[in-house]
Amino acid sequence: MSTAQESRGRKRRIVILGGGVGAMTAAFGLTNQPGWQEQYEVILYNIGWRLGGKGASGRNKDVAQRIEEHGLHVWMGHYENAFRVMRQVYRELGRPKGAPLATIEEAFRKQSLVTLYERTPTGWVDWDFPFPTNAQEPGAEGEGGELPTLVTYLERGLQALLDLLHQAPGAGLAAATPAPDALPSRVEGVLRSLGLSIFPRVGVPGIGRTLQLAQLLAARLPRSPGEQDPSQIEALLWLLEEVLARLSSRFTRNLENSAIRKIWSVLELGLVVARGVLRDGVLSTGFNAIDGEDFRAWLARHGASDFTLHRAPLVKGMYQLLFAYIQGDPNRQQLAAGVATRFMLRMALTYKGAVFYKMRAGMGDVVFAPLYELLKRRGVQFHFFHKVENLHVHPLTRNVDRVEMTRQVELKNPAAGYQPLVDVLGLPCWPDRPLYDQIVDGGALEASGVNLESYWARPWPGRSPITLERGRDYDVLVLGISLGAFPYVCPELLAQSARWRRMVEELQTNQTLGVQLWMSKTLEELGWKESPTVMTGYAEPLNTYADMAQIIPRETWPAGTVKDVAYFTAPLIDAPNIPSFTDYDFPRREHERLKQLSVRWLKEWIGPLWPEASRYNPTGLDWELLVDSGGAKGVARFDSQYWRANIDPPERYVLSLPGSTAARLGSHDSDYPNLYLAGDWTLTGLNCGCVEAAVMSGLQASQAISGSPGHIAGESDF
Amino acid sequence: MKKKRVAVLGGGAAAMTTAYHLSRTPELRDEYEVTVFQLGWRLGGKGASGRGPHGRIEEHGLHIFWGFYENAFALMREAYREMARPATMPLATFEEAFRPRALLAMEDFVQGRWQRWVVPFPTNARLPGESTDEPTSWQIVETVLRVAQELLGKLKSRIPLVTERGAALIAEEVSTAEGERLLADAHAYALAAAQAQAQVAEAVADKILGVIREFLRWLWGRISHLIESNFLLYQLSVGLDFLIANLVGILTDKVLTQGFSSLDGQDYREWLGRHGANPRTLRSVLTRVIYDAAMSMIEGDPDRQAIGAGSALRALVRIGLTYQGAVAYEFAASMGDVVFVPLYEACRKNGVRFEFFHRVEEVVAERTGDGPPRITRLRIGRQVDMKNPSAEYEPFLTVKNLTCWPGRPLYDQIVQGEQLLRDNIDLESFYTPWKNVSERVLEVDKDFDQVVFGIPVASVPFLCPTLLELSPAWRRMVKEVATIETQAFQLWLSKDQRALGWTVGSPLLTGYVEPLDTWADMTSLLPREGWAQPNAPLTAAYFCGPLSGPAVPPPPTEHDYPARQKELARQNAVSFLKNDIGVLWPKSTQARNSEVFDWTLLVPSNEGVGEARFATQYWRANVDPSERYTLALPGTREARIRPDDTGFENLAICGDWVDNGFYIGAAEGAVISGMLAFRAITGRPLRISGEAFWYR
Repeated sequence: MSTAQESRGRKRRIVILGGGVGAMTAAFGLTNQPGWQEQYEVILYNIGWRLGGKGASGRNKDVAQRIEEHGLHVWMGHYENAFRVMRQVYRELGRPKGAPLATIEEAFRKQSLVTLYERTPTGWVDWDFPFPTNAQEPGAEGEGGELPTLVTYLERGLQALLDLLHQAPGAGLAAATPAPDALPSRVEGVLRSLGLSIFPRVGVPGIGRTLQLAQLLAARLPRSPGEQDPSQIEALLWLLEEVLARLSSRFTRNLENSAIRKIWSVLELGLVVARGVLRDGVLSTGFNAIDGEDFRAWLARHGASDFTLHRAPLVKGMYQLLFAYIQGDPNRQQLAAGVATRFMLRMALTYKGAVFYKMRAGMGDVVFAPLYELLKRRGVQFHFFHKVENLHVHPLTRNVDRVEMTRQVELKNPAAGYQPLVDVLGLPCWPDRPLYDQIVDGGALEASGVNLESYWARPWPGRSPITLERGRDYDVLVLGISLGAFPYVCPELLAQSARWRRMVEELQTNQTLGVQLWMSKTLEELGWKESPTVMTGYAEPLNTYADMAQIIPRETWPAGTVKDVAYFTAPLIDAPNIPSFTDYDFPRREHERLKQLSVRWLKEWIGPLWPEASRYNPTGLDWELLVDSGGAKGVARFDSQYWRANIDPPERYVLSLPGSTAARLGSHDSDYPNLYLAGDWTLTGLNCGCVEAAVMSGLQASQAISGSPGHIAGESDF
Repeated sequence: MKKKRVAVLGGGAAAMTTAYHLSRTPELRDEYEVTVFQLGWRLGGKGASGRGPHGRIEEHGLHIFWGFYENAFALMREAYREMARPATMPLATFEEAFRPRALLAMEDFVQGRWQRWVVPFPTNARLPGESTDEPTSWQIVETVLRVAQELLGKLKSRIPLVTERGAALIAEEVSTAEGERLLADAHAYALAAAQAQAQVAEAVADKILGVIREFLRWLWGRISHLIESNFLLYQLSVGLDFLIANLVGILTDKVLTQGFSSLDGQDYREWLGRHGANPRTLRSVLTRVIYDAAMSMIEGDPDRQAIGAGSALRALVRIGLTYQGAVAYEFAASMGDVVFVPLYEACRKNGVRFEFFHRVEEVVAERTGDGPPRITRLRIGRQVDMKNPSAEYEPFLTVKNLTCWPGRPLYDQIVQGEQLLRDNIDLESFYTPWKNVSERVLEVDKDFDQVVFGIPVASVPFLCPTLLELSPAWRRMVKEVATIETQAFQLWLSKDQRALGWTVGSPLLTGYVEPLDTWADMTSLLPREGWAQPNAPLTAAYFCGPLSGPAVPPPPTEHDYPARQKELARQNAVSFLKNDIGVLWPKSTQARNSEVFDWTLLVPSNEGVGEARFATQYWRANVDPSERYTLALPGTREARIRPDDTGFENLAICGDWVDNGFYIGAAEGAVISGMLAFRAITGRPLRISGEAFWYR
């Protein structure tokens, strides 16, 4: 093919559709080799005025240039590929010293405290998990890009459980639980054959000795898949099952003590996961093999109690972290067991630096502005204001031959292109609306109130259809638009491929919500006693929260007015009926619906979170604490805050339902020869909706097209 | 002499009080001919109740009589005597009908968790409805200080010597000597003044004020850092602060000489804060309890709490310190059965005529001469035809030998009975699509002489347009005297209180999560309902609170409005049971959802799944204009109209919404207003208990 193109006298053209993490990473990967310009051109088309997809954010010039996000985004310490990309972006961009967020260290802030909320009959109990920091750096150059083997997870995980039994209150629990008097001879035989003493070192009391044996045994297991001897697995299982059974009968007498409940929930979950991994042969098959089963069902099959499955917030927290609510409904939680287990283990056992990282400005500002600036400098061509309408497939060659788009606006200076960024306190940022002065009839467009990102936008003047044709405008396509939009933008791809139809059917999507509050009191004054946290497991529907005070200096509030910022996010239960795109009022109704949900939630649930944030309605927020320069009274002050219902098809979060992993397509495996895929909905090795998966997918697309990068961390469990 | 014909419009507590008094003696009966016009099939207004399936009691909400309801109790004592039920019948006497309750509980939200105050109020030997004298001002001051001293005594024994501060444990001696001395001094001054029967002397008041203000400074200077982690210390400190700050306010503003009403321009919390109450106290349930008890939330919104300081303070002092016998009394059956059956029986015996199924459509006033305008016409719709037009409607049924109001009309006496049933018509609803079968127009001088308007204030704009036209005072009243919708639900459960996880007696609890902030255990009513073993419930529980809704009721053409609001009330109840019940009944929740109510506890079972079982229980939204609860908002007292000063010659008004000296929506205020209306019509004296001191 390339010969034919060269003979036509031009370079290969790679067109990327979409501007989210997957699309932008694909562009990054494609342009990351010196001399790429000799091989091909990279051209990116994006809807509206800003890049970022679900991670796009905007600055509101009417309200102190505040950051307005799609939702709450935090990065995890195990996002090896994502950090690697960002590290290189910041380095190559070379912002001058002293400029805001000049380096990646300044852009991302370590977050070690994670809070999960347990619901008891009489109220909420917060379980704080301070994950210690370590000296590693996520995505750093050189060694360490490879993830541990499954056996290493087992070894490290058991060590972590053992650590719990070393200190109070776990030590007391362990001491009160006797170890078995003797080991069966077959277990003893395995231990001896591995050179392990059956009388381990002193130091762990009671049942801890048995767990220590298990941990030592795990540490000696062969690392490669399938190399473990069945008798070794059996011996390890015997030890773990003893620990589980004995501790669990002990625990049922200690339900009233929340500190015991907390460590027991970690112990039980850890032991059940280890048991499930061993019994189901995951060491040989990898986690994808158990993705047909729901996480809770899988845990239950391996002996998890109702307490761990339903009341303790660890399992619940995984569902909330991965938004695993069918159609956003909290009563319909489903999550593929392998996806959940893998993500949980990577999160807890393989983080570098800190378990979480918070961005020090909007995600758009921290991630997409630097990426954009760098890619632009490298020579990627960006076309804003292009909405993809339809992809046409040739029925015989199966090539995607045409892309129909709407050019949403006419630029005043087409040659110069659209200049999308604005400066806020020295930082290049995305605005929350188009820069209308670059647009022909921009004033009228602004006045019309049309939202160019919305699928439900009322038709406006100035838009025109354009068509890209294979061979003329592109040779290779990278589809970086998210799966929720496929029924609308690529019906032909679905019609001509059973695999596509299956993918769209099995990978369901849900709406999500974001709510942001600017407070006139500090977190401490609001009654939060710990350090700033990232929290999940709390009352529906705003079940996940993070303190975001770190972004205050990046907004332009008069000194002292805003003392804290809080972001909430969660799935948003679908509207009962999602209407056709001609129902132009739908976004307003959804916006209003989210407002009602949020106000009600703030009335009912802010009290346990922030005990000092209420006034005379004890569980409800004192609306006066919301910063509102308009000076509204009472609940009307909420109107001055920011909330967003993510309802547009490509904004919908892609779920990892049981059975869905098998339905995912790989970036290189689109079923259409000139089409590559980039987004967290592809088969990546993580298989769930997150930045890291999208980055992996973008890199995989780039790898398939260009051979670069050569290595992507964590693509396989082995 | 020709009898004066009095048309009483409405059959709630106030109207029935007037009707009762107008027919009380042979002389009065000679002088007055009284007819009560009542919508639908039962009396009681907001206090009406009915019997539903299984003979169960279905109320508008939770009703109790506080122990200070002297006028209401006196009325009921008389009504029970008058009715003279045979002793073998249930609830034959007043004493059987009203049962003392001593246990009040409150939920306080402290440090992000619900904590409970349980306050057992000691009983005393006084009898409800039989008080003879009014307290002196100094007795009240002395009582407050005595209670404060008792509390400090308890605080003293609770102060920990070692406290946690940061990471360190710090040993510290906290002496309460200073506080004790200050309270003792104050108490001594008050005692001396009380014993000397002294009039309020400013000098004594100033002395006490000086001492107790010092006490508040001492309290928060020495104690506040200790209370964060200890709820008992919190309770004692906040309790002391609350008592003393109220006392500071009472003395500073000379409430005991100038009357409570003088404070009604301000909100109670604002007033209390101004007199030194700690912000913690203002947020505590002790302060909130009067807002919850009097549903004082503008448009039913818990974020907008407001109540006139004088009305609130009066009610608090009356409830807490001046009860007769017990702090509260419950009815031994429903409110309708216990209050309105005897009132009806007594009135009927005394010749009062009752016209059920009569819906007042308009009260027409005209200015006919030089004098004040008067009511000239009453347009009253007859909702149904009686099968036997010559006989009065017989409104009762019997459950376990007790005379009761049914939950719906006794259709077999009604010509249109089947049609009403078939179309599911609620004849009490202001919003019903049902058309009156005919209209009666009563003319002044021909059909009536005097009118007693006993229908609540939110109905006035619909029923009395000509009165509003003629009277600026009425226009002001309608504009300023606010009302709200309320909601309630009742549960019958298969487990007893202890098995549900409540361990301390049979509570009356308020201050819990909005909007359904109030709960009463009503298990004692179960024997009066029609249940039988097996599968009879072991617990009955009532919940109620304000309902968020518009400030002004929608017009009668919004036929589906009640259904919409009732659905809202259902959702609120279900949401309460899903999220909040565990604090009250920790053992009533599901194993897998530790916060969600176990729906299978509900009796009877409809075999439904999950919350579908709630369908068998009772819930209601009180949204009719005449069901709306009256608020005593700050600054609205002057907008109220006295029963004897309506500006219309032949019109008296009654209800808890008139200027009755009490202002808060309650049976006692309604009864007082009915007595005032009696005075207005007859010009005769009638002793109103508390009038000289409390209700000034």
